[in-house]
Amino acid sequence: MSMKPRAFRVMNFLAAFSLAMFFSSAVGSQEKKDKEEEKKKSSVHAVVGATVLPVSGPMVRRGTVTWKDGKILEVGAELDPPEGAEVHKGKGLYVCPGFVSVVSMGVGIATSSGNIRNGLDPWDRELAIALASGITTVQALPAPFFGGFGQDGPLSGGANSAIIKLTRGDLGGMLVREPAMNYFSLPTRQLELNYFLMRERFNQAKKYLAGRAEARAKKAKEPKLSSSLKLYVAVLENTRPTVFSPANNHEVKIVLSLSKEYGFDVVLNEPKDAWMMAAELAAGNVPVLVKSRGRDFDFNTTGPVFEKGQMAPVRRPAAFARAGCLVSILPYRRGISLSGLAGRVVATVDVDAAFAVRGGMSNEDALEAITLNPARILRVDDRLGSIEKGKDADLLILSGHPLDYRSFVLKAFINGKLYYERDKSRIFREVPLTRDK
Amino acid sequence: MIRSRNTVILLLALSVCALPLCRGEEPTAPKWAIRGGKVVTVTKGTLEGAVVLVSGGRIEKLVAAPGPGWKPPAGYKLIDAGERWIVPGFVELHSHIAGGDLNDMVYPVNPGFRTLDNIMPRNALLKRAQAGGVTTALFIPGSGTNMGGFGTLIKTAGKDLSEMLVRFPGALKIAQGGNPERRGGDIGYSRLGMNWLIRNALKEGKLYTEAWDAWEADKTKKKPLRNPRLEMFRGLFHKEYPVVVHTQGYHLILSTLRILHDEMGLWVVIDHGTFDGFELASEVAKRGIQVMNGPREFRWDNRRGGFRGLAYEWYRGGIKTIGVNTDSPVVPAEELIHQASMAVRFGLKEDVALAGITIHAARALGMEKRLGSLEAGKDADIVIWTGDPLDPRQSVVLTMVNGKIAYDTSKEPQRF
Repeated sequence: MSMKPRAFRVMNFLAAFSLAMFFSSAVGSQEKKDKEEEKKKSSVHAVVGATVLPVSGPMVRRGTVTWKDGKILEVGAELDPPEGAEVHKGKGLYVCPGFVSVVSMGVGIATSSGNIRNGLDPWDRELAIALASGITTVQALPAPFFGGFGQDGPLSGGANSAIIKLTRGDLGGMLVREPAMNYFSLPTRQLELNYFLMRERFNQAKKYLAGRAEARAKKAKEPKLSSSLKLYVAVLENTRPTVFSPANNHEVKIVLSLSKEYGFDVVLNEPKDAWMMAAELAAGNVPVLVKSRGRDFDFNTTGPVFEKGQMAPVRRPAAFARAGCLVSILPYRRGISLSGLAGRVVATVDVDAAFAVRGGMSNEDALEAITLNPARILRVDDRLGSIEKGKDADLLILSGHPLDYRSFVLKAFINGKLYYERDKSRIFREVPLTRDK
Repeated sequence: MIRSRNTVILLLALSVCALPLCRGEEPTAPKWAIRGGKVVTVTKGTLEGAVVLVSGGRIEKLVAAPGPGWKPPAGYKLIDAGERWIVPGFVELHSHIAGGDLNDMVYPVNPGFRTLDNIMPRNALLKRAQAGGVTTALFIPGSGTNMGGFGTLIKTAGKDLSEMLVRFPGALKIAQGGNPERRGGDIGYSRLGMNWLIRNALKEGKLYTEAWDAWEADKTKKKPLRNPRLEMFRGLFHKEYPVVVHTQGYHLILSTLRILHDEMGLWVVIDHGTFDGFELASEVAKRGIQVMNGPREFRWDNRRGGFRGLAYEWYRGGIKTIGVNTDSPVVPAEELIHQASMAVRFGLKEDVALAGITIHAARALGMEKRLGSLEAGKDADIVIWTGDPLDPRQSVVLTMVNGKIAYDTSKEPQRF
């Protein structure tokens, strides 16, 4: 009995000591590990011997791409990797820029309202799936409340949007810009009255901007901005393009005239029959976001066959591109659904690009329409969308051509860091890389 | 006198009326010699630079090595497909697009219903299906009730129903769970009720069939009463046509195997087989049941945190003849080949995926002697592709159904 308190004290001391040792060593090793990791991440990388599709230029066989501190250093054939670079095997593989999804809903964000920067979710499952499928940047919009298969809500006026990178598990790397674009809904009923009111608001917004400029010049108090004018002012400020979803060519004409009259840039989202006026859109530098596949769940046996005088969806991206429009191919659905319908979500935008090739686009144009063109439309092409010296090192190493439906992303880099590796991820672990079994 | 003159006039008038009818009849179907870069026979390998000879709406023969100086025999029109691929027309086992109106949800079991009367030949959705290389489709009732009725096997092209019809009944449609629960509240709200309803209806059909079999074999002196509602069960129990089952997931497929195959002895085709249904692959394979997987082509496995390719998992589990479907318009009919491509994306071998929507789909309906491959004697359902049909970048150039050109992009815009 007498030994017990003493033994207890000794044990107490030993336990406290070992605990302290454990913590200090754990903290120390963690710090060291972090530093090593950081060093590794910021070091020079190179992928060697790959077929490189830089998008901004011609294909490079046996190509090398090197990058440092998140920016691309060099692209060329048979270059030797710089000393000390972490070399990634490229032989027999393809390298291309990460795909840019021009519109997505609910990917990488855990919010349905408010600012997107407050709802970024680097651990979002849909983000992980999109990244594993080769998408490195998205324009994220909140997921609609009732999404159905693939969360395909309408692009409603005044929607929040942000350009985010899919840096899995890394909140700091995500936000590129918020807001990304303006979303504007045209009136659908009582057209005479509502078009009149819409123009009135544009006029008021113009007046407000003039007043504000005057006040700023005089360093006086700026006029108050009413909430109903906010969107109109944002459109006229034109710091980012405005997206319209015209239902018919009449509405396309209205959008074009508004854009000319008030001097702002527009982007047309799924303009239904606007392929008929593609030359006019090209002349006005109006980019289009188009799908390469038609509506699903159509029971209408008297619907379009896409015979003479009509144009099948699969041919539309090529038709716009031929006319000289800046085309970005939309995914079949704007969200990611795990319902099981394959090849029809934001993650499989490469399949939609492949369908555009079916309709007459070249492989090069179709790849550009899911990389550099969306970057141009989102006005981030100074940083994203192609493999060029000085641009962000957002690139993919793939098992085959990016538009081959059988290709897998083997590694995905964003800001020069490795965020996805097929061999270490569970997402495609059950799917064989080669199909010879 | 007057009367006889009238008769002569009437006869003359009738003969004039009859003339266009005679003229309207088709002359003998054209004869074709189709030469391509690759001829994918499906059953007998892929032949480089071969020629397919077509006459009378059927494949007459394949000329494997025609040689550079080869000319088509007299009377045959040459279609030179250059480097393009020649592929058999696809067979879709789950289609709802031939005429709409598929779910008459008053009674939970409807063995008297049939889709034959609803078919709208040459409708827009069928024409789009042609542009995806689909030449045969099983047009079945929806899954709103436990027994939707009898489906019809049709070609996707033809001037009228008689030309399109391949077989009626094509198959019986049974939906074992899922969608029939939509009605809720009556019997059939839960699977207890549904299984009873299905078993009860089939038992009735089986007894009816047995009674007529006994009468026809002279084993009884009591002639059974005709019952039009049960009449089509006789062919079903004689295995002249299968039952295609809306069944998916482990739980439901278990009841499919027990009730429809083991108890009732029916010829069963699993026509969804999605979710975790593939876990039963060995049991399904043991019974020789064909699976047409779709329209869902993958499962997100929460436990493993990754994708599972459904067709691939069925194949790996023992269903070597796995095929896919679209459940069109859930997935548009023209995207049947896209479903196969996605099966490949998620792990299935290319040749297995192609066989699954051609020869294996035909065999699932007992039509392997007429459909599903490029072989002498089979229907001339032939599709020319710009290249490998599984690659979404390739498209259909020409679709021939029963030896007649249904879709030709040299004469009309590309539909898909």
